[in-house]
Amino acid sequence: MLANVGFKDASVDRMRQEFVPVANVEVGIHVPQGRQAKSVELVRKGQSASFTMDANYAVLTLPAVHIAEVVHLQLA
Amino acid sequence: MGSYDVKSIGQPPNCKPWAAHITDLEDSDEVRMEGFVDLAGGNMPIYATANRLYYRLGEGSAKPAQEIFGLARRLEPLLKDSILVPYVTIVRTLESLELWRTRRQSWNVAMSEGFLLAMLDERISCDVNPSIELSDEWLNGQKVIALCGASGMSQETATRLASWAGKGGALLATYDSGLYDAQGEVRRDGGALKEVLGVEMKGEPLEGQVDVYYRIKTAHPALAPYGEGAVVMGDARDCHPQLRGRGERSTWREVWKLTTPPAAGFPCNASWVRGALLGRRGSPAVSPLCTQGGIWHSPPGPEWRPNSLGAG
Repeated sequence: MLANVGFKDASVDRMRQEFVPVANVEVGIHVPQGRQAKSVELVRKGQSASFTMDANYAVLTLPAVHIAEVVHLQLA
Repeated sequence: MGSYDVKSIGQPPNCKPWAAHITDLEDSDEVRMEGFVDLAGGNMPIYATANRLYYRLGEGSAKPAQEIFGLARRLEPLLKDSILVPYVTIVRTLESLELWRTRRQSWNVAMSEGFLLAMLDERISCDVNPSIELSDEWLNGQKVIALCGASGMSQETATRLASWAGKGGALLATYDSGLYDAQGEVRRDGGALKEVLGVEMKGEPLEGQVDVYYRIKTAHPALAPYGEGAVVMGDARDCHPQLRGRGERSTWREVWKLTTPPAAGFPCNASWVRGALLGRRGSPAVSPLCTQGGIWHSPPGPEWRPNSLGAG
């Protein structure tokens, strides 16, 4: 997950990017047919996360993403 | 302090290399963002000299770079030897880039970028591969290949693609794909892809015209909410291919020019939606099939299910 919300435009004298957190980002990861999602870890945050299944997608909500998060879905 | 991404020696990077031009202004979050972008693209960032640190200028820190490398180390078993598994791969052709040799213009780059944006909007995994890197081994691993206004095409590339499509690959082509040969001259035989697509190109796009509108003839989920009868303002350049063997090929041709009835010989797959729909990017109306208007696809054709393909 990349939250590329920096603003950098030399034409308006903004040469530096400023990144702000994005709240409540919903993530859906397609689970291959015949496989089951076992667990989800937010790697950068160092935490496990709960998820629900919606059709073939493992769905979770990230409370806040600042720049990036790596979502690691483990399959059974 | 900036990053520059590489994959490995002898292999092209998966994304455009980036380097900071004003290194003393690049810091902290910017380094983090570039580093994560590199990792997300399957690359490994390397960093230039942190001269601000050495010369004690400002408040520079090596911590952002350390965080990137720390995460890369933790994820090494996952990142190492990872491969992209795209649902669609855009193939840009060398011959399109060289069309200037005959004083012609190709929209291959712009249309590919538009298609890529539509893929991103639809969360459909997508990759880009130039025609000069096509191989039978690589083709055998592809599900869908998109030619987005790939104007020029060598016979070798066309033959490879046709062979791959004949074995079940799904080939999408838009606008003037395959209209020109490797020397940049117009193919008078119907285009390089006429057999595989069942569409015969009848010459070069017409010169630009003003106030061109199109009316959608057939509703399609990919065109929602532009259903049957909807009118959109279109691109002023127009290709005029002709279908071959109708009934044998599955071809979408939803759009007609209002001012010129089909009977006058104007079936078009022009880039009508490129301007009309990309201007509404972000709305549900944008779909993968809309970026360059009419899209021809080879049988058996991909089953497009917007919003359900994900990154699988």
